Amino acid sequence: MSTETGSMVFAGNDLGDEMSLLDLLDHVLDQGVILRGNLVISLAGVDLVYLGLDVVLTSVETAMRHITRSAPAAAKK
Amino acid sequence: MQEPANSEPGPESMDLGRPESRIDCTPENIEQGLAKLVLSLIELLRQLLERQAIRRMEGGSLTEEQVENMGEALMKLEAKIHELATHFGLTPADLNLDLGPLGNLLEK
Amino acid sequence: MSLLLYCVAKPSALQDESQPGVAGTPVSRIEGSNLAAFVSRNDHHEVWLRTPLSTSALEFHRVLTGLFKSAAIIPFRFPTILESDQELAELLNQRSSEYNTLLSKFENWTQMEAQVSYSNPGGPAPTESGTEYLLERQRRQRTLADFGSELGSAISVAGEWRHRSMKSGLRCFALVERNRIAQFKERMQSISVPAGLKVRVSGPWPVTEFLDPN
Repeated sequence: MSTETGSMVFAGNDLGDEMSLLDLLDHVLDQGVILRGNLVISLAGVDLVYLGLDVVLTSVETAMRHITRSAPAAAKK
Repeated sequence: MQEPANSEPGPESMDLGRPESRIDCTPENIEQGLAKLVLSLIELLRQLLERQAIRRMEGGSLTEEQVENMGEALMKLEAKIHELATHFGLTPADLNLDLGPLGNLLEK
Repeated sequence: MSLLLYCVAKPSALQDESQPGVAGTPVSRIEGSNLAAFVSRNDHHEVWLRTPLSTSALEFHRVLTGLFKSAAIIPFRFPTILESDQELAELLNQRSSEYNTLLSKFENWTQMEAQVSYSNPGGPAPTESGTEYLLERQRRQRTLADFGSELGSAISVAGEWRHRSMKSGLRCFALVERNRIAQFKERMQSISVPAGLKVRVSGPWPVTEFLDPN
């Protein structure tokens, strides 16, 4: 294994091998205009999407509202 | 576990997922998913600490012993994180989950 | 009726696009406030958020790539979901001049990216002292930072260059005209990468990193 220089590879932005899938995902989840924050954290599988810390706070609040809304005895807001 | 029909988690909420929409939800996967998130956060902290340590070392105001202790602590922390990651079947790449604006802490 | 927002483009662009979107929901083109917005519609937004999310994210990317081949677009972060056509109309109205300015500004531009990371993720040799460990990390850090600067100044063909520190290393963005992409790649190829680092070049992507003035 050469240790003389590092490496440079060129990826097209179409789907290719496993590695470029991860790079693609990295890009998709990191780029683009954010409107008022969208957070989805998936706990299933190895799939985690995290977008924006400020949204975590909103999300907890929103989640609480949803939980309250769906409970049979909850008072209406 | 049935959820009432009108409880729709919005995109802003934790997607704990309705049973019918989950493809690969097992207790092991959830555990690994959580581990990935937690260790990713810890890895971010470790990197921040590493940068701070290097800065202080460069600052010249620390004794040799202090530098040595700091370095050793960080070294052990990194080894421990890798050990935990391996335990959960995670690779070093898995710990590079970028955490939005938290990642900006690495700037500067 | 929920809407998944893909991107906006100038109304003159992309007239003829019909394609499948995320989770099989078709892509629709909606005009408003002198903009063309590309969306998918569905009764419930969960359809776009099914796990594994990576599938939806990659389908989202495919839509954007297809559209971007022929025109400048401003993509939205996946997943951006609106709850009504009304909401979309309001959004377009609000941002019409901002987006049109950007779409004009970057009409013939793309974003090329270079991820610089360590070829060896790390992990100390067991016999290293704490001091040696820190010195080695310092050296690595400097190599990365120096190379980042070198990369920036070497890419003279790029209109602009930015980079961000990430956990995995350095993320670099170059603004490159559509007709100078090949030139950019050649220039990148001529740069020698220091030992211990690896570079992954990708693109062309729609311009997203340069939308802010700073």
